[in-house]
Amino acid sequence: MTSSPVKPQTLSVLDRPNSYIGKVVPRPNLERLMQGRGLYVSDLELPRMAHVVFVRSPHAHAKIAGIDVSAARSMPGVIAIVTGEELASVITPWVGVLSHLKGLKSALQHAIAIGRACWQGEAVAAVVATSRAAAEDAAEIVTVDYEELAAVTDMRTALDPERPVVHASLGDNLAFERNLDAGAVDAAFAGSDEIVEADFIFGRHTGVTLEPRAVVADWNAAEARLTIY
Amino acid sequence: MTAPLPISLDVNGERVDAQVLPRLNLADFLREHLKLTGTHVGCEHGVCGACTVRLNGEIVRSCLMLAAQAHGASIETIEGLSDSGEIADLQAAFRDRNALQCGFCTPGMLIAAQDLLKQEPEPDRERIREHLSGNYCRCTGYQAIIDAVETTARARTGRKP
Repeated sequence: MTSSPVKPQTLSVLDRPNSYIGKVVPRPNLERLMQGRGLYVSDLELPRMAHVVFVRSPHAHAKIAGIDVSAARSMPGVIAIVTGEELASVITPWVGVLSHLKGLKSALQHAIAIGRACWQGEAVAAVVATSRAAAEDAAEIVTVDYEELAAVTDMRTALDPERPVVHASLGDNLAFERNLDAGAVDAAFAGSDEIVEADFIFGRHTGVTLEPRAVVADWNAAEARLTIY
Repeated sequence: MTAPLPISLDVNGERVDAQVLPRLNLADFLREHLKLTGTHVGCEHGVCGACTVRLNGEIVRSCLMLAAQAHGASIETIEGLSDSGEIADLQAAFRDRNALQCGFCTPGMLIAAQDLLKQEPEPDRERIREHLSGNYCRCTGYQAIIDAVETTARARTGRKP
C-alpha cells in the first residue's frame, strides 16, 4: 500500500454547512422513480373511482344536430353520459386570453362543445363509467349526428374573404397580431447585393409529456374538501 | 369470446394465477390486477417504450401483448429487476448522472438498457442510442441517459469510467 501526501484542504465560503452553491445536489425522490415505485396520476386508485372517456368530433367544423346516448346509457358500468348543454349549467366557459398578449381574442370555450364543434377532436360528450374499458365501450355507441361545415384549415388563407368566419362573435379569423418593425426594411432590401427568399412553415409547438395528462379529483362531502391529484 | 380466461404465469419469481378478459393487455394486467404500477403506459401503441418488460428473458412492449398470451411465461418488471439487485449499478449511474426528471420513461429505459448491456458488454454511444431509440424521454433529454449507460458498461467491464 502506498501513501500519498494528503492535500491540505482549503475551505471557502462555499463549504459552509448547507451551502448548495457549486454542489451536485442529489435528488431524494430518484430511487422510487427508478424502481417503478413512484406515484403517477394513472397509478391512483380511489374507492368507487369512476373513469371518463370523451366522444370527440371527427370533423374540423360541424354542426351537432343531435346526440343519441340512449343505447350507450344502458351499457354495463355506465354511470352518466353528459353533453355540453348539461355541463354548461355547472361550468362557466373559459376565455383563453393572456394579459401579456394584449389584443388576443378568444371566443367562449365550453368544457364540451355546444351545438357546434370547431376543431377535430373537440369533446362532444363525456361518458363516465366504472372502468375505462366500460366507458370506452359505451362511448363507441354514442351516435352523433353531424352536419359538416366549411372549415378553416390553413393560416395563410384564413383571412381571405371567401373563408368562413369560425367564431362570428370575434368578427374575423384573426386571433392575434403583433408587428415587429425595426425600421427601414424596404431600404435594406433595396440596398442588398442579393436577396434570398424562403418560406418557413412551423408546426404547432407544445409540451407533450409521456405521462398522459390526467387528473383525479376526490370530493369529500363531509369535509367540503376537494382533493385534486 | 368475451368470457374470462384462466392464466398462470411467473411474475418476478412469483407464481400468479388469474382470470382475465381476453382483451386485457399485459400492461394493464400488471398494473391493474397485480398493482405493479412501475410498468408505465404512455402511448399505448408500442411507440414510447414506457411499458417495456421482460418476457422469458426478452424485452417486449407489454401494451402490445395480451395478458392471455403471457400464459405460462416468465415476466420480469422493473420492481423485480430492482429487488433482485440486477440493475443496482445502472440505477446508481442514472442517479449520479441525474438521468431522469419525471421518471415516467425510466423503468422502460432501464430495462432496455440492461437488455443491451447483457447482449453487448461494450457498446459505443451510437449502439446505446440505437438500442434505446424505441424508448422516449420527454423531459431530461437523452445525453445523461446515454452517459449513465456508457458509464455502467465501462464499470462492468473494468474499464475507466
